[in-house]
Amino acid sequence: MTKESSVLVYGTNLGGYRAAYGLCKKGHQVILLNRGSYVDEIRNQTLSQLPLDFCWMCGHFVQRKFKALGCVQDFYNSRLGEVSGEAGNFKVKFKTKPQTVNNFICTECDKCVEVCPVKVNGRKAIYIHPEIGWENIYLIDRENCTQCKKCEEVCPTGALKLDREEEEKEVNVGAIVLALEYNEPTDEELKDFGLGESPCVVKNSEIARNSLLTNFIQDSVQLPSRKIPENFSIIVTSHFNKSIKEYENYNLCVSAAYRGVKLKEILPQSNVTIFLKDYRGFGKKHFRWYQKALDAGVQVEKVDTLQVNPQKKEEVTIQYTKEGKNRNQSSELAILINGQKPPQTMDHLSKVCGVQSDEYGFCSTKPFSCCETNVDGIFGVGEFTGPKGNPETIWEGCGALTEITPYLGESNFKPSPPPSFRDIKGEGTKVGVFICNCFHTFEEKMDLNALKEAVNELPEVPHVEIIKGCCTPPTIKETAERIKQSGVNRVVLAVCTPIQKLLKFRKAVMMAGLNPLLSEFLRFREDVINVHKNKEEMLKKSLTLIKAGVAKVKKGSPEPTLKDKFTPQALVIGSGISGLTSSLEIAKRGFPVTLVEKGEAIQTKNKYFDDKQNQHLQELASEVENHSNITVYTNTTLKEMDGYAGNFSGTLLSGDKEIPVQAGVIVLATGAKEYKPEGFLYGEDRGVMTQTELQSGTEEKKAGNRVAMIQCVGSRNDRHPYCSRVCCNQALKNALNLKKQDKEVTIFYQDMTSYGKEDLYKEAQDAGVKFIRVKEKSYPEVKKKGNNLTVIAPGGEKKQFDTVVLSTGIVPDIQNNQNLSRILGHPLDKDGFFDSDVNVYPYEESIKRLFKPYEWATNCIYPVGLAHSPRSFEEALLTAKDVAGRAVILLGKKALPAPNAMYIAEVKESLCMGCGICVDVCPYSARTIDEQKKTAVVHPFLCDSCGTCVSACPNDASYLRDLKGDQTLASLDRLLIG
Amino acid sequence: MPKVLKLSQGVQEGTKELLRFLLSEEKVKGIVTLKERSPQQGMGYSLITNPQELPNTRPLYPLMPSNAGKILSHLTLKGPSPQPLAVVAKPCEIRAFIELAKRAQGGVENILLISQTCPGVFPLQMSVNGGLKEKLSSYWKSAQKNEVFSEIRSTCKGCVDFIPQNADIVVSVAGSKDSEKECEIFLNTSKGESFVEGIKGSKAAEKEITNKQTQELLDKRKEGRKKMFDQVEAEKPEIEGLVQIFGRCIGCHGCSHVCPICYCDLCFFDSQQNEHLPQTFERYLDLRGGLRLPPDTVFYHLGRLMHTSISCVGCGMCSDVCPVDIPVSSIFTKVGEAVQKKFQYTPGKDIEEPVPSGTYKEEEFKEIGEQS
Repeated sequence: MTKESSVLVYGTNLGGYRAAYGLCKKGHQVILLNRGSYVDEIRNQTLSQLPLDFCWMCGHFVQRKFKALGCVQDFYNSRLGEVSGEAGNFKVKFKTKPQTVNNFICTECDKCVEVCPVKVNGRKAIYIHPEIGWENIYLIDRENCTQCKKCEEVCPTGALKLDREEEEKEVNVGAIVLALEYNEPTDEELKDFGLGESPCVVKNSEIARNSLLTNFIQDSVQLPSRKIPENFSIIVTSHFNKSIKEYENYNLCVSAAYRGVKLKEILPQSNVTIFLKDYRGFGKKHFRWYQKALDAGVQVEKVDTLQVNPQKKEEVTIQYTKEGKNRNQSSELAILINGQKPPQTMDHLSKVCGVQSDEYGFCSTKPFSCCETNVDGIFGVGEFTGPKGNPETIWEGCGALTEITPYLGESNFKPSPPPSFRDIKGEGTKVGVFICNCFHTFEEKMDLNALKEAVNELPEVPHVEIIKGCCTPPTIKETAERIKQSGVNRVVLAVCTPIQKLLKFRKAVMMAGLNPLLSEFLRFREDVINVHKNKEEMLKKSLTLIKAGVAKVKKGSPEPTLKDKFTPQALVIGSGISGLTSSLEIAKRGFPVTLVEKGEAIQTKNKYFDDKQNQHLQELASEVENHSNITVYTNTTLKEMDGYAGNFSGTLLSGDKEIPVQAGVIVLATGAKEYKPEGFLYGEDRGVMTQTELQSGTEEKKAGNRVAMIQCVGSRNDRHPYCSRVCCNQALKNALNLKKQDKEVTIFYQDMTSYGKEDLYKEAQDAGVKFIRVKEKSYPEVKKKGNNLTVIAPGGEKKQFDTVVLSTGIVPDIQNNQNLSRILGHPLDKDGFFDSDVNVYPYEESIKRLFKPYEWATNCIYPVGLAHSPRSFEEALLTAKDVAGRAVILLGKKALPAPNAMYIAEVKESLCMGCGICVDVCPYSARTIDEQKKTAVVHPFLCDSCGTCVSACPNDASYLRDLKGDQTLASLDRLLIG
Repeated sequence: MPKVLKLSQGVQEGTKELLRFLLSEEKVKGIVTLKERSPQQGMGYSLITNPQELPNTRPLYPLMPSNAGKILSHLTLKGPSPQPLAVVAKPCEIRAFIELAKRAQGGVENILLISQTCPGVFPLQMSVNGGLKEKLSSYWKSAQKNEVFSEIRSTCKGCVDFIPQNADIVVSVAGSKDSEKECEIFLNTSKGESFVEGIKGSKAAEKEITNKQTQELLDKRKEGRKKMFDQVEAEKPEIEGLVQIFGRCIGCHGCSHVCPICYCDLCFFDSQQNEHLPQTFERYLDLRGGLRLPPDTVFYHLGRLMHTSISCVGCGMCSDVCPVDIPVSSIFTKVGEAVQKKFQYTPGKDIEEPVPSGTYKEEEFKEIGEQS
């Protein structure tokens, strides 16, 4: 039986979106089931936490793009039914009901709202969702709707149908991705924090939502009385919730820090206090955010218990205990940052497809996999399988891609090639203006005929006409035909909302046989109709906009779409668990891999791994060694590397021998080192050891009866201002083991950054492990007295021990990293790890960049595992699988168009002096200097057409193909002067 | 503190002696310096390799026929000199060269930079029309007396960067009382020290290059600078003021051709790119009723200000070549000072310091109105 190629994605978490996106890119059709009635109705992790003060519309654009191309089918109001068959050949039944207003066909003309006779609370029974900024989502208030159907009659495109039938559908798919969304605690479960009882208690996500798309401004925190508060508390509820267990990912603590910083930015005089038990920001650069909050003057209170008591109208009291003492603090606004509950959908999914939950209620995944569930061919991604940070959620999307492909047949989707363009040489400039009446809705608001006549007067416009639309398949076709018939060779389309419909407009122009660089799209709805009432003004403004558009397209030039070849090979540097995993996953999909190891052999044993992990490593190593697609070079280093993303070529050095190497992508899996402790009598007294030495279990490293553990040795200090992520869990595990042997254990800590589903911290507390908090960035002193080791806490408290165990962190191999960084031109972060696309800011940058089309965010150089940042065994595996998925998408293409096809920057060589300022400022490393010609060169693969080079070039040698300097000046002239 | 070398000749001869040593001991392959060519050809920069040519050189001659920074850029644009060269240039010329090197328009590799504490140079016109030579002896006297000579370039009168920032070797000229009898040479860098290894002369102890004299001169120059800036204060704001200042420009673009910071071979304003369509002229006429020709005068100067002010070294070449006596250099120096202050940038000071136009800082990303 041949395997199916399509994949079903159930749910709308970011991992699912990302998997859908990757699968589409790889050529697999995707069926996306949304349980909600519109795109964001069921809030996923990002939308529940909204730590960004920003929506992530780029995620949807990808979806819309593939939908337009025919690769994604999405269904709303859907519920997964019976799943039968097996991996590779599933038969899936589901129920679905189309949207009342089909968002893809709707032109947002607002007619339905205008004719609706029912008024409720200042809006109509059909209304626009107030919280979605990037497009209008029309919702129906079913309680108040009288079913008069006037809206249905008036809808010009038939997008609106009040009565929609639920349908049952059946599809055949090769695999299923479960991407169910975040479950937040209910208001009842947050009662201890006053939610719902006082207007001064709000969720962080609500604050963020208030400021969505406006940046964070003062009004976002306004109280009902319109007062801007001065005393803020930010509470991480998962640390104090007694009614339920809130699972916590690292977003919570860093969200608290981020919110604190933002509040201080907009209200510098305010008092902001963050309440939490421990600062658990263990993601890349998250400790820096904590420092940033402290530097901004945010107070951080690490307290034991906490509740919020509503007071008079606009005040609450935060009642908390700290160091055994009760305290109170009043606050005008308490901002809650809450964790997550296990997915409610788990029971249903267990029934219909047999996936099992783990002991905590999340979907369980197989060991050594990132998203395989207990059922072959069914995968769980994102918050559905446990609490995790946004980057991890997104990595799982491509990790899933890596794990899914073995179950799928040959790809079943290929977009149709773009139409060919007419040669317009020698024709002279003929501009056509096409004014959209939006299915006759614009005509009622402004005098389009008068506008048409006025445009007709313009000497440079031989053709003007009014069209019905250019955003539904029939109107796109019709417009294209009209452009063709008119014989013009440049087009101004006076339409609406290019940010959303740009691809459709371009398509119409291309279907007419014209290069889209010869067209301009105007926003009549936004710039004219929605902002003016007076018809005269409307006419004047629309004519000015058209004149500017005409001036711009007149100077456009029809440049070709650019493509570049792609070397279908990968180079992997480093042969630890991450390097081996990425090599093998890429090789298994048919691409040659060069694996370079500077040591004598590839890794088969790692002293930090447990037995099972080491066994996995060993199996992996032998598979790699025997794989025909993998060439392993040991005792080998990278000598030099030239080229650019997609086409690297360089030299390896093995002893004296130089080996040429080619690659399309480079995976950096160079690992990191354990911090070697200084002081604490380490190396001087045999009673002082590291956690790993303790774990080794040798006679020499046996713990005595009284054990002290010192946390954060080599982490979270001025030299290493980051959390090493793994040491707290390691210490807690070791402490629990020692407790089982009836030993006394005391842990000296700054913050216990334990994480994951199992609560080792609480277990250890319950088991009687003693915890003593020390001041930040300070360490206890260890002294030897007779047979005893004395540990003196920074406060002066002394205790006697037999053994002192140091929880040492992870440090980058600076010398090696710097060397590679120099050869590859790939930056290191401030801590000396390799920089990548998910670390600039905790949220916005990472999400935006990760969804960036074509994956060029890292220029085809992907740091994985410890080369990227400190992380655990499982997390390292995840990064390796994510990168393998990303690489496989690209390596399969022989050539790729520029990310923006023809919309890139170029260089006028006659004006270029090769000074390199554009190279320095290019955020995408898309530019180099041609050493022979001494002029700048643009790599179309990498250019994102942002225009930074244009503003930096002193001689106008840099230009954007669709927005050349003379085009801008000409259209500005028209806008400003007329 | 730099080491000091003292030669027992006057500065003129001493400097030549230094150059002779460098050439004859084969420390350098050649020397770029001012040379008296012939009465017809006048004074100009030459690259000499033969020590016998030295008598005709005038290393410290108070004239700048073209900015040596620009000359060095052409010499090293396509790659560094294969053999060491020495260059004797004024402090502003060295700074211009550093600015160019930062923009990949040349490199300091294999170049020994020799400069002087600079008393200023005469306008080019005086060298062409005669009259300069007669003034020379009083010029040198005034330099000894630490005065600002009345007939030097007006930009030089207001120059506060007369002490070289980046030179390997600095000859003390301005304010050097005994410059007739002795030649005091500061060895600023270890590179400078190694090149003069073996020269006959007394090596005095280390000494600061700045002293009471240089401070005095600085005060005088500051005064001159204020005067210079006051003179070019526009009477009216915005476009009217600009027209007033640049109105008599004939569009020869001489200022950009001699400017070391204007490094583009083909300037946008000289290119096809800037030729307008007849319709554009028609539109200008519709808008304004008439048009000053050649067009875009103010645009040209604003464009140049935009791109050069951050790196303007105030050498004065532009004013010198202006056929209609627009005080270009005073204007550019004034604007340059303001821009450079804003970015805390001193052009030519440190070759490692990136040019602000090529760097973005996080704090510059604030939205308009956002607090920084």
